[in-house]
Amino acid sequence: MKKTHILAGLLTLSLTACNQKFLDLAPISSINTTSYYQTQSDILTALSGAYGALQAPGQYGQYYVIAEIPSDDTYPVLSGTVTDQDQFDKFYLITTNPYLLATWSDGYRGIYRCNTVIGRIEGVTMDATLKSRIIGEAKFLRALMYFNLVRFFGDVPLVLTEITDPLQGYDYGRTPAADVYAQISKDLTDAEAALPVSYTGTDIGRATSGAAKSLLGKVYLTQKNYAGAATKLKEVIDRGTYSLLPSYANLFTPANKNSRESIFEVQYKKGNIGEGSNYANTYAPTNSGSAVIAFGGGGNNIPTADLERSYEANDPRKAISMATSYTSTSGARVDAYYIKKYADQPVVVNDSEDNWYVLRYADVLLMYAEALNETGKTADALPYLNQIRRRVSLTDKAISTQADMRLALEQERRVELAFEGHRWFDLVRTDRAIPVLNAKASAIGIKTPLTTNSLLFPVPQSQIDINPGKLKQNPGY
Amino acid sequence: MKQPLLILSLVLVNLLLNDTSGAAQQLATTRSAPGSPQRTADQTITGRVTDGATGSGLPGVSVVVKGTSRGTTTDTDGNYRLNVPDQGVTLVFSFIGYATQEVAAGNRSTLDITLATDDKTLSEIVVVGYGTQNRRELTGSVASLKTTTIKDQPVPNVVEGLAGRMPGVLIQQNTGSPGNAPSIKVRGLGSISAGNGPLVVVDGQPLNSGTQTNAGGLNQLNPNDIDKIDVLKDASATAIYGSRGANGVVMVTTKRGKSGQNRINFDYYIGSQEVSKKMSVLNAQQFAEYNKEATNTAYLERVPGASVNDPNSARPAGLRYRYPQGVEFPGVNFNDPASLTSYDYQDMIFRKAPISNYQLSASGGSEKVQYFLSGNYFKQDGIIQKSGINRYTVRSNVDAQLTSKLKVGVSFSPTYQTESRVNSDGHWANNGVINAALTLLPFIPIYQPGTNVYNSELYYATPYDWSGVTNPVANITEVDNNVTQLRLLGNAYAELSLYKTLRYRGTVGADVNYLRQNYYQTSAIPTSSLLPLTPNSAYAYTNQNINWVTNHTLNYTLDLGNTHHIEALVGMEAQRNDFEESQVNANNFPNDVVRTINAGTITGGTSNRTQWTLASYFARVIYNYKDRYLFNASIRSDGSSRFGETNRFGTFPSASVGWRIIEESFMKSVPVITDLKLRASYGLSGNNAFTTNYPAIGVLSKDNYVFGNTLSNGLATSSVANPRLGWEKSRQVDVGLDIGLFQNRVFLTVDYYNRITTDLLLSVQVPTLTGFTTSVQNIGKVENKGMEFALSTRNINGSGTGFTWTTDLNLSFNRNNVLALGPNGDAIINNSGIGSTNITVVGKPLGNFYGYQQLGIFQNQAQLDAYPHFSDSRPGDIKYADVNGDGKIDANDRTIIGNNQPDFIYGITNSLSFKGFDLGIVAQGVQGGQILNLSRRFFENLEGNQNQLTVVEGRWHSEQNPGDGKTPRANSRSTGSNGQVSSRWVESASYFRIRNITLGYNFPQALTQKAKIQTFRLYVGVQNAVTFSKYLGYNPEVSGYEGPLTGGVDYGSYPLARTYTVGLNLGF
Repeated sequence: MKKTHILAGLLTLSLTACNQKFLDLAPISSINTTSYYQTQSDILTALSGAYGALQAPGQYGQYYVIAEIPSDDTYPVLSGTVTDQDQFDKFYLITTNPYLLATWSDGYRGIYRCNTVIGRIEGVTMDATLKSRIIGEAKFLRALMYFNLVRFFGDVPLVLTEITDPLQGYDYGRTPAADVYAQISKDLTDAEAALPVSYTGTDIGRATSGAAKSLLGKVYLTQKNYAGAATKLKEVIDRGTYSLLPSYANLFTPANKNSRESIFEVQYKKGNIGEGSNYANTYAPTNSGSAVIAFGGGGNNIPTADLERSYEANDPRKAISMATSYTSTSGARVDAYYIKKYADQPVVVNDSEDNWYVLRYADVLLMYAEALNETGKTADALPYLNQIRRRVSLTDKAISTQADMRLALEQERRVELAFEGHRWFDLVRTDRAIPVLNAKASAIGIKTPLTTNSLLFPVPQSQIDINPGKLKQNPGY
Repeated sequence: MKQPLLILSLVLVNLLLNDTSGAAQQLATTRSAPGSPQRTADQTITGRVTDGATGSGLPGVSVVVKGTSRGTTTDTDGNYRLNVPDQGVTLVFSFIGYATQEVAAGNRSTLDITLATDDKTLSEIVVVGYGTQNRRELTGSVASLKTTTIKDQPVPNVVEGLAGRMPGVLIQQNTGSPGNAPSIKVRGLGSISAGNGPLVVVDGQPLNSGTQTNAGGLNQLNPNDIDKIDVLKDASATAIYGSRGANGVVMVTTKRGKSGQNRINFDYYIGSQEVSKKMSVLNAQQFAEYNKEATNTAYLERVPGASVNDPNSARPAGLRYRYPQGVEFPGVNFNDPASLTSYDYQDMIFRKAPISNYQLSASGGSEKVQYFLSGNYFKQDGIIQKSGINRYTVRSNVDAQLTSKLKVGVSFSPTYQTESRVNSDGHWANNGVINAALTLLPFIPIYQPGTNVYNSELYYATPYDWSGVTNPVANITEVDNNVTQLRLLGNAYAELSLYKTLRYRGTVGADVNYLRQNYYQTSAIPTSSLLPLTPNSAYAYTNQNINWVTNHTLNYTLDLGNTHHIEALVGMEAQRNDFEESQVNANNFPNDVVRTINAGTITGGTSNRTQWTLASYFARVIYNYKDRYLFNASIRSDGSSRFGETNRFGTFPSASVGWRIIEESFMKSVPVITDLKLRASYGLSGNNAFTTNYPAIGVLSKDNYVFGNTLSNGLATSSVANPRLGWEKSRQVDVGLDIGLFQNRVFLTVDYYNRITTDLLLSVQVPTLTGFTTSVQNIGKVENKGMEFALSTRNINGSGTGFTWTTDLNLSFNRNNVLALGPNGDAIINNSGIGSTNITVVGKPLGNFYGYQQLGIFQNQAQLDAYPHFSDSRPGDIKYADVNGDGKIDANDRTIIGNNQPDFIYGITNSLSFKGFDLGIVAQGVQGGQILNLSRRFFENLEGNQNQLTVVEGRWHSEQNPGDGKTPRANSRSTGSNGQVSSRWVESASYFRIRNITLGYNFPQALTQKAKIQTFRLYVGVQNAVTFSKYLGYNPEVSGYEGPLTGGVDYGSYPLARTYTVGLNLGF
């Protein structure tokens, strides 16, 4: 009997003492957040996950909708009553537009991943140089993602640490855009110091110091900090890492991915491994069968006649960037405007090799020229403009006034960087969106003329509904 | 933790094994030496026990010396002989169905006893958590049923026999598929995303929890081995099961041996099952007529100047008759509809199927050792061809009193079951047999003429846009889907008297289940135009679930005079569950000869492993004062691995009081009332039956990237951790009244309850700036309140005539209401089968059907012009309600169009006996509630491409011939969105069913004794005898997507069988 007492007592003790361990179970067949992020390889995998967020529809996967369609360069194919893309084109955006939600949510999903890497790496014992580089890469990505969000939505919540409890999400209201820009600049300043000039082998495609500087230059330019922009962009130019490819056409062949002109690209790879890009199929004309791109096209982002007309007569970039007809498989000529820049033949549908340029050297040269011009150095700016023109064998321009230079740069950027997601932001940055687009209102079919309210998109309605106390809508929506 | 406990368990098991062998030795000793010195001092008492009503001797009455385990049973004439240790002992006479009597022997050596039939509800022992209680002292709400009352029903799962027998317990046999468990819901639905099924406890061993609402835990248990079912309903009864008690607890007690009552029983029945209902579909001629009409409607509407007389050759593709004119098909002359043969595919898939059950059991024992041993073979062929189960069960329950202080016991029951499954439910395109049989065009032979090649609609259909309904016979014949399960359920206990009435009890139990499924589909199945070509394919699936539990309790009883009675219990329990599964898929088999995976090309596979653990402490105290004032309180603390780390332990208290008013002196003046008790309870119980074992833990998923043009593996968090995640909390009030009248010949129990469940587990939308769109949180609130009535009457108690008649009646109302959902109260919309079919909103019950409200049929253009409609609606199309009144019909006009939850459920059981005859009639019903008969989107699509229910004979033809006012016009190019989910498909779920009728005859003992047989009974029975229901489908209990939010949807479902049985019970 005594023995039993002891037995029962022991049992009670052992049960109590070991309860915690007995009850602490973690998933066996999937990796969990509590036990991960222990080693250098864990962190590198998480960082790849953060880069992977760039491919999400709401980031660069469907950047062509939200960043391209509002401009005067392209318009969407209208299918049935689906107006989600048309709302961007004709400026009658409603707050429940799904592209808004995707952009907001996928943006923050990427930011979450960057925050996780930045936060979790602290506790990992690893090579110090690599650690600093990884932090730099994560900060570059975070800055890029915030830069897009702040340009689309204006004031946005500024989340800088990994959210470990979804309830924390209710604490975030919208941070003034200026503060968001300050954080972006800080992240990029940190990144340019931590990142290498270039990579080799299987690291090619990671963020470099040049990418950080270029992006910082663009951020400054967007904030109208022209002196700052000029300084940063000059650093990129002076370092000599980058140069224009001799052939404009070569920029858009998969063989020239991550070339000397490339500063930062969203990377893709075909082969049915879930890493191919969908641009080629997306842009090919509807009902084109395999005449343009195998497996047919979605007919997205149809180039406008206005854009077509804006190319100079002998500009080879037009034929490289777009087409106005194709030959069907039966040999007939079919009239259709479509984008040609992304045209790698997929092996399965939506699985092409085409990368997405986020930053390339031509953009840097033109931005630098813009910064110089805005600081009154119009003459200094001119050679950079002409450097772009010379590559495509166009004659040098001779411009003397700041105003003319502005228009020349606007025009050059439009044709040089067409369909790469710049035009809308260029117009907004240079305060030209309202006059330029309103002037073409009837051609584009704009429903109501643009006002300053139109320059920011509405915060997705669902996000306001979830946290109405903290999130307020942009004016005009 | 694991190891110490494991070692202890092993030690215990070891102890038990050794001790049992000790007990066996002891047994042998007792037998070989009956005249041991101790015995010679005994004195002998003899006597006869008779039935108070009939005066005849009662065999098998237990006679035990009170306070000891010494005892015997009466012989066939009711005589007994018992050695007692000394004078002054008290003998206890007990027999099922009779009131137990205690008689002080004094110095008498002869003691004749007359037993009166029992006021059974009063002396009944009720199994509660970690113990038993006399119903008289019960303060909670517990429904009980002895399985003797359902023993002859041909049911593979004991739960099926409970239907209509217990107030507050809704049992729905959603499908007639052999081996499928019915759903069981105790007092409504209290959860949205976690399970709604009760916890099942077998002989004190809680089984794995986590399934939705079905009684799957009881599935391989042999019903013939079960002695009694108690369902704990209110919080004072369930709180002792803490985080698993909120949905009620089903306590299963298996049969055990009784000392002295050595019995061998053989029970056998054989039966024949047939489908209880067939659905009425068009024959070939009706179909041809209808098809012609549908095609002409579309043709005339779409082609200007068209005439019904235009031949097919003049009509564009898609607008031709789908039963073509002037075209000959092999074996089918379409020119002459009268010549078309009508095939009844229901007759081809259904069959008369045998069912049989063999049970051989032995039970009994000595004072020291009692045993119950059984072997069972159960075979049920399904009423759909090829389906069926075979089940082999063995049970061994042994209890041994090793010393005066130590008692041990073992229960062990292996089960092996083989099952042949048929894909009866779901869309015909997914080879669902039922929907294929009902929608296949009625003139298409199963085989292509003169061959044994399966026919398909495609064979005929290519130019005529038939939808390609699959071949119902091929869907059965050409698929092998064999499942075998081995289940080992067992536990061992030790009970030790520590000091006076302080007792320790420890149990170790395990429930081990292995499942293996081999699936093979041949290439002979004709393909559907809706699906890609599926050549032969196969998979092999296997899973293993190991659940072990150990609990240890200390129990102390204190009686102070006849006034104060105290019972206290403290205990602890640990439970662990390990689940593993894996599957390998293959296709591209060279032929159908070898059907195992090795013969094909492996295309992929998966595996998965999960665990859960639970560690608990609990206590209970019962205090009675003068048997009049009753008080009961319990508390449990549960630690569950499923909960978040900051919320790992939950505490579940409860308290209840009872007042046995009958004991008050003033009640003496009301002799008609023979029992009266008022009960009230309040308590908290929980629900941790989450659909995953790790809801609180964030996990990472793959999101790769590319560097240097090579793949770089990436991982990113795909679900966020919620360290606060905890159990769902149910707070329940119960007030009950028990009244006995006329010597308790009439006994009424009434309960009112109100259960409010809070902290519902919900996947809620969170700000996406967190990096996530949803998160699992404890949010939301549901109320269930209701009334339950149980009335037992002994209408004729047999005195003099030998005729007895008892009636048990129960009636339960439950009202379910969602009080809160998510942070914003957003509605939850669910899909079952197609699109959105269900909606759950605040202020309504869970799981409403969601769709358009049909107002009628547009009879003419004027009506069409006068009311909002879809842009392509025409006269003859459905008039839907403009619910939001915005002048147009669109998705925003979808509304609540029904709910499966009944207004009330009821059951009536009548038992009659006269001389050797006995008759039992069990009837039950459900009133209120609806079914969404989703299959009618095929059966009544009116497009002329599938066969239809004869309901479509009431279709709209013209304003002058408007049909039944609900069924739209036939139109092969359907307009007006007639095929949207709408109230047209919502039907009443009310039914009244005579579930079982059994008539038996007990041969007189005088006759049977000659053959050395103690009891011999023959019976005939019919299960699911008659169902009164207006439901068009097979079974108004249907629920193809069973769950709290999608209950009561019929998308083709295995019908119930009507079963005729003949059986016998033999006792030796």
